[in-house]
Amino acid sequence: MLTTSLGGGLFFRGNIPSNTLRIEIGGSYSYYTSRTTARLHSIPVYGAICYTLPINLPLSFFVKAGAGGNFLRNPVEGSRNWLPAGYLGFEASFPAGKLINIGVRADYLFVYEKHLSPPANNPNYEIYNGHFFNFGLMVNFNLAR
Amino acid sequence: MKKLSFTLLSLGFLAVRCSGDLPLSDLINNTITLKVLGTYESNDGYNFGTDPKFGTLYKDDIITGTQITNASPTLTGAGLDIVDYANNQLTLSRVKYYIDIAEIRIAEGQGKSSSQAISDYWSQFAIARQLMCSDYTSADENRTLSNCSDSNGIQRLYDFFNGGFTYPAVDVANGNYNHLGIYFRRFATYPAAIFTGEGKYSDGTVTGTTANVGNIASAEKVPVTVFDNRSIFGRDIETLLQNKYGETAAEPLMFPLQRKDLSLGISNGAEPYVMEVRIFLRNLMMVHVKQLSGNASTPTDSSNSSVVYAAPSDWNIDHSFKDSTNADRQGGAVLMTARVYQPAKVGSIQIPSTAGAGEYFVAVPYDTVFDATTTLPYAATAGNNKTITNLPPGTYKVYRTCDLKYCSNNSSAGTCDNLAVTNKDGFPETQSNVPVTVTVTAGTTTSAPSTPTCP
Repeated sequence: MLTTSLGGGLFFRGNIPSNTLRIEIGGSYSYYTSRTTARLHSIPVYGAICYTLPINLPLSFFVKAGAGGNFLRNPVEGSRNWLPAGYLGFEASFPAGKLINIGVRADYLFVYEKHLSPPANNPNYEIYNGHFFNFGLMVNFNLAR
Repeated sequence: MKKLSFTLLSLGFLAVRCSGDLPLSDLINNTITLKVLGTYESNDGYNFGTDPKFGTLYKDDIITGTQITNASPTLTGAGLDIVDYANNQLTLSRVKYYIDIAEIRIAEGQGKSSSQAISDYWSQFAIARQLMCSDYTSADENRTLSNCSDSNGIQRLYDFFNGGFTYPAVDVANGNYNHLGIYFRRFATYPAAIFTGEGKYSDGTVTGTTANVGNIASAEKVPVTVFDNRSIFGRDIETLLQNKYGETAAEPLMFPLQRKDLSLGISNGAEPYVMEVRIFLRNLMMVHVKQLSGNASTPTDSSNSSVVYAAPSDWNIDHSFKDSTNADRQGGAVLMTARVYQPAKVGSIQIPSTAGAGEYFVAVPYDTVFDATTTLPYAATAGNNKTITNLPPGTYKVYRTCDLKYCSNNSSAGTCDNLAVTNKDGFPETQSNVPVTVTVTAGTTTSAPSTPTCP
């Protein structure tokens, strides 16, 4: 119901004592418009475990799973809240020099709102959870290998 | 790492408990109900076509039982096709409506700056096109009005004229909106018929310069317009309504049909509210005749042909239908108004006794000036109903409005003050000299101390 939008974000990934697993935290901002008056600002932050797929190519592939919180502001309705979120991600990147990796990533955020109660003065109010699909071009800087 | 994500998750929950806002669900749950009515009345309108006052169509003052007044070439005789058609054949029960509303918008501003985008000025909260039609058949062979049919346009038209239909809309931000526009993409009526310069049914063809004579069926198939991407028999009357008599409007009057002096206060996003939009069309339709009169010395000349059709009455200005410059200028005859109320917080006004046939009881907020000759009232009901409902708490002036005057050649120049008993126009331009004051509280019905009268 909202149109696609362009946003931006940052993430940090760190090594842990494992060959295939890493941890990642990240956050982003995006503003969604629509053909009608509906508008939404979204700032998700998440933490995730990344698993490197064992594929023997110059490209590296990650699948990620995690959780976090998503701050959402609906300016038309004047409502805003931090909501719990589940996170799934996929990433493919290749090294461009020693310092930089370039890649694409797809993120899915499941934003949970059904634990909240509807407004008392609106008996027909139905609560929905949110689903956000983000597709991104990324550049990452290898601070340590 | 598991610890990290768990911490974030619990942080999220902690923050959630502080406030119950639902930014996602608010996108889908709309507290607004946009109700669109085609009536003067906001509740309990006159029955469509069955009330004694509204059982027949109004006739323009140049149509009499025996002639089209001032026609040139003359059109005289009760049995003449055009006179018979205007009086007896174009009846209310035969009228079909075809209405296509593109969207409804509201805005807080009074004017539009050139640097703004459309969406900066207008809140485009109701963008779903709404089709209404009396009939799904079209003039295209074996084709129907499929979009109108798919969206149940006959029922929607019925609702439009009987208490209103719900226009799909989403919420708008809090604010006081004074500008509302209804974008009419199409407004056509059926039937309309073409006549020769001598007043006989024309089949629309011409031999040499002479219009060929047909019959009622062929004459009604000549005017063709477009609706729902199909040809239909009937006459496009929206074009006529775009410009006022004698004027070329800077903004077309039906695209949008708008008002910039409303007060639509939207203050509580969580409380369901109704935005009621009323367009006065029902019980306002009139039989009009337009004569081209190109060559009066040769009546059979096709340049003298004329058309008879149904359109909103000319209550605001008299029309000279031989005036080719202004032939297509009937604008200003369609009025609209809008208001906002919360169904949980409304009261009613009970009026002691009923009014006469075709009269209305109206309520306007006490601090506003009501001029029945130029505006639709805040709320209204039929004179045979004694209750005005859905009024937010406050003090109101209750008037009675009556249709006493009409526009004719005998009116004073520039006014529409002909007081003849018959042949009125359906527009209640006369209001009580002294209104009755009533204070309404939520959830109750307040009795008016007396019944307002018309002068």
